[in-house]
Amino acid sequence: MNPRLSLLIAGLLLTATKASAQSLGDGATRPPAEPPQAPEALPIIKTPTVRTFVQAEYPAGASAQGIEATVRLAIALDKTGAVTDVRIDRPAGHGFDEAAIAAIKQMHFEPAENADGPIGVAISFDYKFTLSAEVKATGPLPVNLDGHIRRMGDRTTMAAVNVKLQINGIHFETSTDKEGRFQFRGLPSGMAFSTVEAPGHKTERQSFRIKDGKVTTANLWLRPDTQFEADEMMIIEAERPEPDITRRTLTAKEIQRIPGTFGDPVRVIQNLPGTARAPFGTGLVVVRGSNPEDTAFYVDGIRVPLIYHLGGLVSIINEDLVGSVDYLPGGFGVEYGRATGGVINIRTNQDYPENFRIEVSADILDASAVIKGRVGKNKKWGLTAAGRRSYLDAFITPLAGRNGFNVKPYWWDYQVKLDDLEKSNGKFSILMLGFGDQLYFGSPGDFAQGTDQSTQGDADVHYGAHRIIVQHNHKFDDTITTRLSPSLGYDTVGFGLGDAFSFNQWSWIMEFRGDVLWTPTPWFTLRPGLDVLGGPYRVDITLPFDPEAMTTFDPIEEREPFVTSFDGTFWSIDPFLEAWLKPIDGSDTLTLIPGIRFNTLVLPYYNISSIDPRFSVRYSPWENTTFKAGSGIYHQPPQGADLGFNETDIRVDFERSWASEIGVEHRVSDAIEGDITFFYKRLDDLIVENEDLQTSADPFFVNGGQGRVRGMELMVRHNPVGRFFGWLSYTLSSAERYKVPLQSQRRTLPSEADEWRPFEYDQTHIFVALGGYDLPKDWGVSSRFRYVTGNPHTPYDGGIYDIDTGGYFPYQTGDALNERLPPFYALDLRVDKRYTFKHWWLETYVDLLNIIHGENPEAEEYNYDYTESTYVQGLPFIPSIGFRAEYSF
Amino acid sequence: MIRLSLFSLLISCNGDGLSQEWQLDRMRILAVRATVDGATDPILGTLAEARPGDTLTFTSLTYAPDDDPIGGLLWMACLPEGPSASGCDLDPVLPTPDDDAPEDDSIIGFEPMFPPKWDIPLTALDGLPDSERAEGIAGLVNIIALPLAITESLPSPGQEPNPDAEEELDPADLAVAFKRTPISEAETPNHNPDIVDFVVSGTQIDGATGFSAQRGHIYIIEPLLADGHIETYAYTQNDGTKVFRSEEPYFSWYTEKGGTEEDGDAFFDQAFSLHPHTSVEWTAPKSPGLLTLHVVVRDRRGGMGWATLTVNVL
Repeated sequence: MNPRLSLLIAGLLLTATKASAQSLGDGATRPPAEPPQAPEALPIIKTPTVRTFVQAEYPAGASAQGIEATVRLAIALDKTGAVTDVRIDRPAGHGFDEAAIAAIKQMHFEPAENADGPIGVAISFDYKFTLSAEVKATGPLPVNLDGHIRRMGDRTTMAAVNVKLQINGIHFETSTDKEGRFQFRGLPSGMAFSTVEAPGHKTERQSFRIKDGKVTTANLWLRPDTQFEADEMMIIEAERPEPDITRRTLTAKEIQRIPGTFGDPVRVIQNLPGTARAPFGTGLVVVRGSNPEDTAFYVDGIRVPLIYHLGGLVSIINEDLVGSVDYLPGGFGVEYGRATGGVINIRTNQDYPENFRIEVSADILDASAVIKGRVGKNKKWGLTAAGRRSYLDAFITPLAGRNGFNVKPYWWDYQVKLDDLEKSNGKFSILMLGFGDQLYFGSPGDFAQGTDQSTQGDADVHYGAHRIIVQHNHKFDDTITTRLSPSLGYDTVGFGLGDAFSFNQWSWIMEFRGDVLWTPTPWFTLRPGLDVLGGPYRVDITLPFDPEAMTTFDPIEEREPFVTSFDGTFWSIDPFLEAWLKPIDGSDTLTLIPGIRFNTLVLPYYNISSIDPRFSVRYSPWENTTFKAGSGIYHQPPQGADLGFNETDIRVDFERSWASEIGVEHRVSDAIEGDITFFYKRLDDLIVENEDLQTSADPFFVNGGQGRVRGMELMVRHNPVGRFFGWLSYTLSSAERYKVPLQSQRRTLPSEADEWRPFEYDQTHIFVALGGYDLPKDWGVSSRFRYVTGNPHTPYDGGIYDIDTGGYFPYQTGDALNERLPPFYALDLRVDKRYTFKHWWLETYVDLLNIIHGENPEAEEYNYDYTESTYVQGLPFIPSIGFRAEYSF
Repeated sequence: MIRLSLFSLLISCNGDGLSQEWQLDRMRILAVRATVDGATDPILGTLAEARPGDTLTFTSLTYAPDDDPIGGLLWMACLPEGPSASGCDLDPVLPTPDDDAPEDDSIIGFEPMFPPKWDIPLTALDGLPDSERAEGIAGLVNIIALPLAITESLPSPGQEPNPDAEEELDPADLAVAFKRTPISEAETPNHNPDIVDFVVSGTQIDGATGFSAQRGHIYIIEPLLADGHIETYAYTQNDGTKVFRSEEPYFSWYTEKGGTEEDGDAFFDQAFSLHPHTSVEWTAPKSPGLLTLHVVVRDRRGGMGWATLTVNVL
């Protein structure tokens, strides 16, 4: 080996100034390309030149590989021309950087000068390593080490990974190509010690024996450094759509390690500000003082009837398909409607591995499987198929105790998604999903379920939905983008109790969501859109009595069975228009978003309409601080039973909410950020039972209720930077209702008629603190503490005996909901461990819920005559274990 | 697994520690029977459904612990003021022993001084369309049981009433109940059902005789109604057609010395039994002694009856 060195001074930059001359020691930290511009600087009249050149040693490994390189360096010179500091600006690896620095530090320069004389400067130049002609003439040496690097667990090939080798004290270095392959040429024989380093992975060290005339093969595996690093899922708390979204991004690592959420990204929402604690850990979503049914659920922008399976334990979408979850607690844009509470939109991901992989998980409740990969010519399509089926019903019946009782809860869901991975100017995907839930209670024929003959028999609740969702986004040019999403679905809901009660509804759901983003100038975007929901439906109802003919409950009154069926087609065709105004140079410094939405509901004998104006503003006077405010009207159409039982005589209108909020977001550093939001919501025209019902001619439901909600939400978060993540979430709020019957009573007592009362789920203080830390050897620990004010409840003072039924009516001497249950507090702890193998990985965890044994009453239960009561306790201390495994082909 | 634990908890909220409905341990009104004076059918029994102008008398089944006996029963009655009315205005002026009859028109009795008796107004069905007179209306009767400690504090004959007496009444010290009494011009008016016998684990037992039970043993007890006391009656539907229906009575069970299964005391497997599955399982207490079981039958049309069974636990 006889390499030749050449040195090129690429340029002389950075004029010395009074200030820069004093800071030459750290001058190398300034960008060398920064032009001279200090106003008091004198022009350089002589550039520095090399006085003493030192030849760098050509790295032996690189020479053997036939590699040439150029290293760009930044060099600080003092006024004598001595080198005071050197920094690599553009590294070349393979030992070139170290060799260049060693040589530069020994070199000396003629100093630069200005009118005052020699000055210190910082210069940038390239140190070029070229092989000698004779080395080039021999041609590249033969490959004698051929290797491949993949990640353990999912077998992903690792591109652009640096591989270092040392043989007999000589260093060699190379990088993997896009397929994860690397080669070394002309290695001397002997033991080779490799070192492979890649961000997010543990350093891999291996040894090989290199033999003359033979090619050694090396298949190396990198072990992920931290758990669950690969997938990024997000919870986005959004108060406005793009581009002014208020975004909270939670990584998969955070989501899966929060105790008590079962790794379900949708359940994590319950740890964010603005969401009330769900009783018994169920999935009720109570957002900013609205009823659970007032929050709308979407998958890829298409509405689905619910988001959780039975009991709120599992969401209807397999977590492997979830790319992000938009959580909009209020103040959402005009593209969303028909909801006065919040909006939760699950966005499916487009993350497909190179190799097919299958993930299987099973526990005592259900089993699920996901297969994911790429198919078609050039692997053009990404394919995901997932399914889940519970088997809880197989063994819960024996737990019910008495012979003859039969409890069968079960659920299933499926998802199939096809994504065009080659569409460069937009997106095209087809998603099929469906789910079904059933809860069946069977009882012995001689068992009395109360005293009413019509309530005897087996009970059955079932519901399900299917959707085919097509998404087509197309960017025509920089000014026009269209986003179209048609969908077809089928929903069923059924309920039965013995022979007397049955309710069955079938409906085809046709939905279309589309908008156009027209951005003629950077400061103006117009967004017209259309949100259509509708389709044919059929409803069959059987009741033991005519609900609208009964003006009061009379157990000795003769009843006539009520059987009715009706069908028709409903349509809700809602156009919306929104503008994004960025008046300050088209930047995000100030964004104004006015919008308007037109709501409709058309049934065969009934139609209503309303208009929702909404406006929001975001102002970012400083880089890390944003002030935000918004106000808008939200209308929600009558739902289900609100419409009554006579389709030709519906007399209810939209429910209405006027929601306003103001707040500020501030990012302290990459790791720490926080925001605070104050909100006020006024609810009007809430649909309630008609308390003045006198005859069958009177409407059964009326828009007679009101509500008001006010509060503050605070969140301080440490992003998963480094080994720690966590956040503090605090909500202070008050939610009240006026002339709305208590859910437990279905009627407003006269004493409550003119009083505001607390909302059933009103929780004054909701505090959540959680954090997780990555421990060595793929261990992780996380914890969550929660403190929540107890829900309001009505204490009863006794009961009045109804001799004709044998039951008691409770009476109260105080106002409704005038007491609260004791506060809820719980500390949860979770420990994770991941085992990574070449083709598969296994995750295990131990979840310890409520380790401080908080009693946490969820309700007050009374005896038969309401003279004794006890608390229905919440979840006690619960230890649990879970497993998950994934195999890559 | 955690999810199973959640489910287990949700299905196990059964109010452990709260007293059971069938457990007699406090002052209670268990049943009230209305009977039309002088209108007893030899097969169907006593008439329970009155016509305007009829006189109704009332009997009651009550329970009170030995150390807290009932001192009096106050009876009030009224006609419903509207379709949604659910009770009488409970603001009575209590009669005194000096009164020949209660001054308050709504009071129809104050036992033991004034046995309850209600003369149904002739105008009770006025204003009701002819088509609805067969079904009629439900008169409302309120009953309040006062413990002896309260009735003893009432003024004696010749004594001035205590103006603060109302404030001394704590609802928690009382037992308050109400009953609907059908008033109609029905073609087949309702009669009260009567329980005549029991079948205990396959053996027919005379209620008055009772039976002996082994401690801790389980007995299947079935009440027997008098022949003809599950009535067939005519009902005119909303569309004007007349149909015949049969009664579907149900039974409510009560016992002294009741307790929870964990306590080892007597208990029923359920508080109710419905026609045609009228039997219940009763577990005898683990300590010997005499006790009584009560069963109340309701025919869902306002008719009511009851019987008592004495058990000697050996």
